[in-house]
Amino acid sequence: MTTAVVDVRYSTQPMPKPALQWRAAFRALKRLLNDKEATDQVFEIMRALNGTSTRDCYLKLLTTPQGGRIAYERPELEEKLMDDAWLDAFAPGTVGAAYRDFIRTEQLSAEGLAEISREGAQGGVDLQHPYAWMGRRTRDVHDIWHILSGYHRDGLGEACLVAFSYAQTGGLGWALIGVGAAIRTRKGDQPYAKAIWQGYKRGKAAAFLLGEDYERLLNESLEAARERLNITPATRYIAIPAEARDWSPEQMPMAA
Amino acid sequence: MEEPKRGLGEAIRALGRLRATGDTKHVFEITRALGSNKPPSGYARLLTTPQGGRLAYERVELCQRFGDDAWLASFAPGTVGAAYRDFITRNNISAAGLAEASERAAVGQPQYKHPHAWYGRRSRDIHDVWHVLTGYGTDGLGEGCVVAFSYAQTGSLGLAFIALHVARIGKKTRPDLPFFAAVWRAYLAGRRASWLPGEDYERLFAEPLEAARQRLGISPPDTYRQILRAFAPQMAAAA
Repeated sequence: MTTAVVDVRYSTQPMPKPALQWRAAFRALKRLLNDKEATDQVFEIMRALNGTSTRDCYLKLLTTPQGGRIAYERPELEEKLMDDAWLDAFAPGTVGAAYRDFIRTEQLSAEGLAEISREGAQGGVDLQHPYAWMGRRTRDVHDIWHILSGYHRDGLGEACLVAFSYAQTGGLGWALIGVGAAIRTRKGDQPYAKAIWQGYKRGKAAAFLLGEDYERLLNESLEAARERLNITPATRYIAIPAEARDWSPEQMPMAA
Repeated sequence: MEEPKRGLGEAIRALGRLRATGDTKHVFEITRALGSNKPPSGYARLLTTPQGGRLAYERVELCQRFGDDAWLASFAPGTVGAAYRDFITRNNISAAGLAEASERAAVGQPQYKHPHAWYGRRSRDIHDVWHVLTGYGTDGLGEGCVVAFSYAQTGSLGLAFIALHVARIGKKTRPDLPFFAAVWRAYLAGRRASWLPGEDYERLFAEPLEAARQRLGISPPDTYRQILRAFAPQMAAAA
């Protein structure tokens, strides 16, 4: 492991163009749709279908002066978001306070998500490379995007947020999960697909969220941030009753 | 922020200023005048390899590194680092001096925090290392050869412009000597060599100079030396 890392650090061999691995992606999708808590499968799908989307997001970041500064400073959000004292300091009503309450009630952590992303990733996650940094950034902001988008952690909320994330990042893995969830729920008695589609449209309409300065954003009031970033209300998601938003194989009479 | 002037006319005017004053800042004006305002392709190329990506992630400011005397003093004789140390001492130059010249030419903020700006600073800071690696001196022709070599490495048109100007001036003074051939050979050497912006300079400094030249495929500056030898009696007489 250690020797392999050392070799990579000094390798001047061009990295291969990432190929899309649809077979592996579908396998992981099947597992994920049967168990929405199988977060490791999400990362499996992402790895399989990322293609050049992380690179494209990084290069997009460089097109603005603020984005360039963020890329230059390349903060590692995972560490920051694990700092309890820092999280405690956010004033009520801010994005940071909502994020703090969210991860504490849901018993989530940036580190927990990061740990899952490292499973089966063969050491690529923590590479010192701007593209790998952008990959980590995309992962670390996911729970903040729950707050900004207003989508909860139920099955539908996650499905809507992945559609939103596809619109933001262009990563086909997100699209696959969103489409998979929409197809899986098509026989349900609620307009799930419409809510998921709205997630995509909201993601398209919103500002480029990976280009945000998160330290500043977390200190902003949630409502002001949504307005500034053009994040519209999740009307179709909210219209579906909370008890109908979750699904699991037992609850949903859907073919596996 | 004032928009920098571009185009061949501006390059020619900057060249006139360079000839009149000898101030290095005009070199930066020339490369900017003939550059594009697109992002540097070298930065994107750096990211295509794991080492290059790491360098971009670490984004060391080489100007500070090269200005660290204690660090420079740590390199054993025969290494690139030792040769660089001797080179800047002998010529009484420094990475900071070059940085200062570029900052005087710059319209924007010199310490701009942007990966592309970092890449630009890095390209500037490694210039004197390339003198050491290629064996071209800081005399006019040596500079002409290094910029011809650098043009092959970076594609920055302003460098080709300066190289051709140097060859033309040389030819005017001594029509019997192969100035254009020397610059052309430097260009070819740059074409043949590995891509030097992708090197890890902190690591390169610890490598023996000859081994580094061989590894990077840098051929010796024969034609350049031949011209220097032709000038040697003149210089000896002047001294």
